[in-house]
Amino acid sequence: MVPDPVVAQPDPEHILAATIEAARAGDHNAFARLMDGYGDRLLAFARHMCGQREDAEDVFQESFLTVFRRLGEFRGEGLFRNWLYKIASSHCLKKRRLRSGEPRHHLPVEELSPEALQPIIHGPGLAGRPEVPLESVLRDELSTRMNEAIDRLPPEYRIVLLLRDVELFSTTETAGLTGLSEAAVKSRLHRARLAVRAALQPYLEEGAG
Amino acid sequence: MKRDGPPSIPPEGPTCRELVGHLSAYLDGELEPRLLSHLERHLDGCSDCRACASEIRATIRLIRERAYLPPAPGERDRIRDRLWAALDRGTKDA
Repeated sequence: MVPDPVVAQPDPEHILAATIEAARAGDHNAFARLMDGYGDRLLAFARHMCGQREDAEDVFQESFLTVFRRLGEFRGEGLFRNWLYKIASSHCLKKRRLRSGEPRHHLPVEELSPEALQPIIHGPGLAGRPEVPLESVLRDELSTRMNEAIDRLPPEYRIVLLLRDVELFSTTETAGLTGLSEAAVKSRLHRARLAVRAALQPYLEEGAG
Repeated sequence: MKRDGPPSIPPEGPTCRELVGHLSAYLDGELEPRLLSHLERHLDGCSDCRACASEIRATIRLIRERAYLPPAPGERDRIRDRLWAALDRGTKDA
């Protein structure tokens, strides 16, 4: 299994529950702590989903306004973070319907046959690449290409990849957040990963040439 | 290859074509047990599928390490100010 990266964790549940309770009672400092705990990652999620910074900022605003207005409805049956991302996902989808930074052509996500995978299997690979320093231009270029590839995934695949591989929700949680079956989450995640990997192939081949 | 349903396993053992779609679930530790042993046996003898699994593993690592885009300088304060202004307006309007 791929180890989880270090992700800034919000407060433990018992502190979070007290913070939510205080925010519900109108304590703006408590609400600010919720924003501090979740805001940066929620904004990053929205930026990938919307494709544009301005839309992502709107989603951030609309999501936290919704949280503020509906905190009284949150009874803590599920995790606050799941509730927040469900709200944000809904705002992202609405925003996308209105306009958008959606790419004109999405990456193909059809199931790749072993034959179609041959360039990935036998060409210059990601797996064998030496680790390059964090500040390296090459590393930045690879990151840029990868983030562009994620943003070119069809939205219904992108959301699954972001929730599973970036926000580290479980398959069951992702199914709950998206309304998909767990089998569909697994299938879309696999195709999304392969599509991102396939999109990096020209860059990897340029580097090998 | 079948989608979203329990995969069938041919008597002679699954082929690359049948197994490649399960590599992500395998790497996530979510492959159903009846397929797990078939896949592991297959990987022992198939360098192409092993290479494909390595590439997917490297892709997952890359995404996990680098897909998070932190706020631009000043962005965090700006969007929080905007949100507080909206909340103030909402409170006054209520």
